[in-house]
Amino acid sequence: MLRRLFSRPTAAPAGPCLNTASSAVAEACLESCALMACTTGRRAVVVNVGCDGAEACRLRAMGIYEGARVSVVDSRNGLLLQVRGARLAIGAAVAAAITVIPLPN
Amino acid sequence: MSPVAQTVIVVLLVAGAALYVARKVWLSVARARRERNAAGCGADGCCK
Amino acid sequence: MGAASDAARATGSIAVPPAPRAPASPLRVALVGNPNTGKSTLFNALTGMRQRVGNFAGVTVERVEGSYTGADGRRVSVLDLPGAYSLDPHTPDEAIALDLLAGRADVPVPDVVVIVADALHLERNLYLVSQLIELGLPAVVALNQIDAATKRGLQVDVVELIHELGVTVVPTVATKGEGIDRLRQAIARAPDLPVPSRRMPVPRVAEQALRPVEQALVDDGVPPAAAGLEALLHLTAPGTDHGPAVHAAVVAARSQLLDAGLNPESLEAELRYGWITGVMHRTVKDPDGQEHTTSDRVDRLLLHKVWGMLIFLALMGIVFQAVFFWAAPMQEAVESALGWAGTQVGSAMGEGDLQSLIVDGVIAGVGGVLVFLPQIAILFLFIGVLEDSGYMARAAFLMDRYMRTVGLHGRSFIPLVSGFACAVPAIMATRTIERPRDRLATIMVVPLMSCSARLPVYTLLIGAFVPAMHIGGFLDLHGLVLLGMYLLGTVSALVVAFFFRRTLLRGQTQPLILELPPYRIPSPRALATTVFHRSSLFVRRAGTVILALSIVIWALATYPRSDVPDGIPDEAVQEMQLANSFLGRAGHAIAPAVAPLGFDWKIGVSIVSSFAAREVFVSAMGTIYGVGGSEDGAGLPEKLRAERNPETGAPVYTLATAIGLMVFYVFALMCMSTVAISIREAGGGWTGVRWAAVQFGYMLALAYLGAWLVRIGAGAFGWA
Ligand SMILES: Nc1nc2c(ncn2[C@@H]2O[C@H](COP(=O)(O)OP(=O)(O)OP(=O)(O)O)[C@@H](O)[C@H]2O)c(=O)[nH]1
Ligand SMILES: [Mg+2]
Repeated sequence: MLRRLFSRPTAAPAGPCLNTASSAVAEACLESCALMACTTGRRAVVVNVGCDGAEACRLRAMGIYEGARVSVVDSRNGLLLQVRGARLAIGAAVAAAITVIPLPN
Repeated sequence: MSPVAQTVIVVLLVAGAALYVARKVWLSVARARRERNAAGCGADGCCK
Repeated sequence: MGAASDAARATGSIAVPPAPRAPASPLRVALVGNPNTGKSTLFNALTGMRQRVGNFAGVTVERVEGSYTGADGRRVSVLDLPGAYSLDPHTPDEAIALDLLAGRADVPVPDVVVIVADALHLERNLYLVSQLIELGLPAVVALNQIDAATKRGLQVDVVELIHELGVTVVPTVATKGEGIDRLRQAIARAPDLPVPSRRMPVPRVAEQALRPVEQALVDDGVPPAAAGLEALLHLTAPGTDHGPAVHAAVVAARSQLLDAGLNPESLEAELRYGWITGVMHRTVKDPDGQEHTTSDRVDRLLLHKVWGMLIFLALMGIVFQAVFFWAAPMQEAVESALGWAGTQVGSAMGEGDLQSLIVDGVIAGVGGVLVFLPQIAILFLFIGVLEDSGYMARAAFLMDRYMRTVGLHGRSFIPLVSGFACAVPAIMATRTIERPRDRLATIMVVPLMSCSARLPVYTLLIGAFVPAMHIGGFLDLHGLVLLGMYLLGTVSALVVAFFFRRTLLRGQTQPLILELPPYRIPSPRALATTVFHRSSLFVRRAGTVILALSIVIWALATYPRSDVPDGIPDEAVQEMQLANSFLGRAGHAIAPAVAPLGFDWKIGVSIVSSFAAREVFVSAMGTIYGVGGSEDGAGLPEKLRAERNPETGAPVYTLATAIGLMVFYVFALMCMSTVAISIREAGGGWTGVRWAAVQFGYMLALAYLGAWLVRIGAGAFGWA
């Protein structure tokens, strides 16, 4: 357990929130990437929320839906997002399942 | 104060306190029983 | 009135259809809205009550009722509800609001829905607003936190917003009471206005695809006014509470939408946010854009992997230091006041049982607990600052990584910290956790966090037996030992959670999704009310339960009076009488059970009497030593230090005994209210009873084991 506590999480743990069905849009667009891969300061448009039902619903109600603009405020541990004027903190597993197209700054 | 009056007051106070404690215990048992029957929003299931 | 009863009938289809009411019956109002918008602050402003308020999502987790008298003399009953992000609930607390609106609660559907929106986050808030106005219930929007929005340079065109939403919008500043009167007027008028309905445009394909679903829902008993809303909700969250016809219609609609190139999962969000973007554009002026640089800069530091953690630990250190340092002078004042009262009463009343009852029972028992009020108030003050500043949610985010390694959730952090104040609200606060297993694991370990009722026990023992030693910087040995006890509880909570997640509660932990509120400077007035309110609960407990128990314990320690041989010293007489009393006999029966821990019968009997509430340990000790000892005027710590084993003459209390006793209290679950709340929140019924029994059992076992290990360890080092 100690080892787990001190080892830094590398890949997003395989949770229920895996990026399973990427939509057709995401495949067509070469620029798309996982939200998790975005660095601090990046703005992006969400193209797919690939979490399982309940989480996706929750995210959508909080403003992370297909077509929403988000900006990454902090990406050091988990993600801190600016979404629709509010600050959202989401874990790495969720952020890995959201596909976005980065916008030019 | 006469010793008799003192004793009476002590008896009354102690009896009152004992009754109060008994009532508290009784109420919490009754409440636990009520909760047991009308399980509300449980951690092990949905909320209906 | 017509509109109101129509709407009530419409949405309350599942509930009892409301009979035509006399105009004298109260108007029922519910406050609904996103978390942290200020619903409870508004509730307090409307009703004059003192509901808990805090700057993070999920402060209110249950339905609370209050009332006021309207300008026309009509009673208005107001319900404060937990916040929700949408009408598709994910957590037990969110479900409370929805159940009420859908008529599934044990109270009728409200006559007026007051939708509380936060002007600072209007865009996100409008999502729920747009759902709520489709319910077909009379509604009023309270546009709260206008002051904060203005300060940030946002300008909301209220008239235009009314036009867009089709309901009355009242700007309010709940913290200052601004706009409350206008809100009351709007509430009174709302039932007579036409009920609001859907405002957002729906593309023709979607409309056609959804019509059969709406029809099926109406056939299934859903009120026509709310069918459109329900149909959209069913696309993403197929509910199980409707018949197969609805299900079939939903499946058909989904494939129809997919054929048309629409994503049924995200259709609702896209439609609503599409409309919201337009509304925002027309109603809100935001010259500065959404830049909050100060907040961001603070976050850079506080959420830093290393610095953030260090700051967090330093904050905790300061809290426990302050609990000792700041409280000391106040505590001494309370102590000397009690001592004075004891001597006054003692000399005024003359020897006798009544005098003994007042001095040894009431003053030593209740007073012994009240002495710790300053400490508890300071602890509450710090918790209040954490809650109101907005730091709580940040700490939860920061801790998520660590919580996750033991199988807990970042959201479990807030209940755990609330557990420092009291386990009862802390266990209720777990309602914000989505998955039952995450939630249950948190409930099981919350009572390991040292609550304020343990503070008297710790402080008494630390003050009496730990040498006051300055360590350096702001650190003092007293504060450090106290911090150690809190850390022991916290670390054990994490370890125990880890075991639960590996055994009884296996399963994946839900990923974190959390809103971080804006930072706010806590208002001194709000803090003062919180501290006062929580402290007065403590005092009330001391004046009721603890008072009664103290008197009972006094009686048990005093009777039956036994005959003692003449010619022995006064002190020995009292000792003998105590040993022969009911309490003494019970104590000697208990003694063997606690002897392995190095505790004598007096400690044993105090532990047993504190099973209902931990503070009773202190009051029982006060009473026992008051009845037994003779050196009047000496405080309980002095009496404890002077206590000798009658056979060996060695001191009963060593540093090791004191630490062992504290460790025992770190672990043991001695609180009736916590057990009751655990039963309810762990599922109620026999399930709840079983979980509560597991909780009580494992904590008692840990307590015994912990105290025993301290004794053995101390013996090995030659301290005992
Ligand atoms: N500036 C400002 N702050 C406010 C106003 N109303 C409430 N607040 C603050 O907003 C925070 C949240 O208030 P609460 O009343 O607890 O919010 P709530 O909607 O009941 O929150 P939940 O119970 O968690 O859903 C607190 O810190 C309040 O002090 C307001 O009008 N202006
Ligand atoms: Mg609230």
